[in-house]
Amino acid sequence: MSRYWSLLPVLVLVGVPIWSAPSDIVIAIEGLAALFCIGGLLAGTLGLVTVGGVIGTIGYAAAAVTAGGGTDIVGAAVYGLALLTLLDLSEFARRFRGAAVTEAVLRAQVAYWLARAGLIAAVAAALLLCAAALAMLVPGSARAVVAGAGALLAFAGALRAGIGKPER
Amino acid sequence: MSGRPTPQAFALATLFAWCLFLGVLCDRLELLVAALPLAMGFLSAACGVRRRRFGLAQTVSGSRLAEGGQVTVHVRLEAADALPIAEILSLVPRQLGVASGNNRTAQTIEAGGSADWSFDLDCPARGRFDLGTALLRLWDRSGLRIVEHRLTQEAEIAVYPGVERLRHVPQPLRTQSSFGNYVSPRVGEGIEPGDLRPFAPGDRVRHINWRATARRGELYVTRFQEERNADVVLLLDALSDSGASPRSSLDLGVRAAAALAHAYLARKDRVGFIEYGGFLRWIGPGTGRRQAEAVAEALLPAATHFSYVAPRLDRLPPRILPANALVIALSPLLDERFTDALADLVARGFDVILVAISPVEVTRRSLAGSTVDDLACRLWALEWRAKLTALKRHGVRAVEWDGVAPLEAVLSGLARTRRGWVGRS
Repeated sequence: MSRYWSLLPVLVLVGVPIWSAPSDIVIAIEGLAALFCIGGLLAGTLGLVTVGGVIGTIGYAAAAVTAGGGTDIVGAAVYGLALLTLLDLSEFARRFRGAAVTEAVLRAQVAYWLARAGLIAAVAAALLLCAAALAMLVPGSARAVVAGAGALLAFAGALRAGIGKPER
Repeated sequence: MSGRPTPQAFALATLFAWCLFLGVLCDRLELLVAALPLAMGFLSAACGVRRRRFGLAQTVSGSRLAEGGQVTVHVRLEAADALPIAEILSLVPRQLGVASGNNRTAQTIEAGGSADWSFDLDCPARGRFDLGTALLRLWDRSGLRIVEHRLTQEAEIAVYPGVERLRHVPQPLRTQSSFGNYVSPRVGEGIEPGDLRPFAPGDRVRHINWRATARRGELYVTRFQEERNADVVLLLDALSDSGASPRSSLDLGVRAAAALAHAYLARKDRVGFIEYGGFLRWIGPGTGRRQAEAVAEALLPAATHFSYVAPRLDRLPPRILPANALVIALSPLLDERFTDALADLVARGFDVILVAISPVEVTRRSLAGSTVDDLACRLWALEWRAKLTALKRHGVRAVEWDGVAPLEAVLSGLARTRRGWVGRS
């Protein structure tokens, strides 16, 4: 798989914050993020791509603060998915550079990524519906506590499921 | 089998934590939502298959080949459990090159399935190489977890030095007692007429020389000179090497030794081999195909081993270096210890021939070819030829070989000058 496919999530990564708040500072930060990401893709270095993602997220935070107003849930989900896809594509291309990768591997991997993207979209929609329901049920003073606890639980669960589970 | 997280997992964790941190810091829900796909990415890693049973078999098309040959490596991976992505790297020694195919591949294998592939290797350099080691990486589809294995099997190949066919080789001055191809001054059973003498009881009738008998009026018989073989000892200088493999001076020396051994053994001579390096390594003179095999095996691992010690040839047992043997030395003449040993052999009465492998030409081929390189090589060549001339003054019969000209053409000068009487001391 060509590493140039990884440029698509880079475009989304840069485009979503600029689309949210097209200010000079956001454009500058996202431009820097794009440079790091492209440099990482060309050099085949995961570290540079991660730094690009971190800087891009700073830009997205700046865009979110600058834009103010309501929350762009769809844009945020697309941004997160772009981050995940960027890591996946760049690492896949880097990992198997120079190797003979069979068609079956590529087909199965693309199918896996598409299925996961669909699942993520579905889960994001379900969680947003739950959040809307909770917002109606939970009083305003307790919302921050519930949100923080949920975030911590999600982080701990993700860590345990992703890298901490021992093999049988 | 225990997996470990990949760098991608740490990168994902970093971005996830960073999104959460910025979301709390800026009090914006967008960043928390953006962290959701990253968390889902972690969760997807938990859905991978944990138990993996598989077997990898790696075989080669041939275990013995000559320099310049090709060998095909077949790899078969069988899996009892599904392997989402199996990355296999068959380790190839750096002296060998992949001619076609790829020694690194990624495969998807269903439970109970298998995958086969092969690749061809060029073998330009002699030596013994292990092709039985493979590195296997089992990836999750998420790319966040990896299991690594190192698999080792018996798959060794031996690449023997290429043998140039020599029709004419330098003839030895002295022969041995066994039957061979050289005309010896000793009379006896043979086909080469040598002398006449009066008939004596016991002589065979078919040896009567009727023309001489008619002329002299009494019976005369023809005496024949015996055909005898000779002992040839190949002395390879492994004290020094120059140039780049597989065209270094030592490689050329090994090839010349293989060609000479093959040619002399075809003439029924006894051929021995001595590697004169950091330590002495030898095989005694012998004849036949078994000896050809032994010499080839002895030439295979020839290499330079650094040492301050000057090996002493006079300490070798006489059966290894027989007194009447023809000693053919193969050397780039870069180490004084070898030239001293040659002068010592000549002084002890050995019949010595030196095939001087030019280190200048060998080195010149591995250089860029700038004016400075060319000038340095020319100066070096002058100095080296002066050393060769000094050895010739000591009585060593020497020819210079640059590794490009056919060895037979280089040796033909010696063959002409040494043709004629072959004696027995």
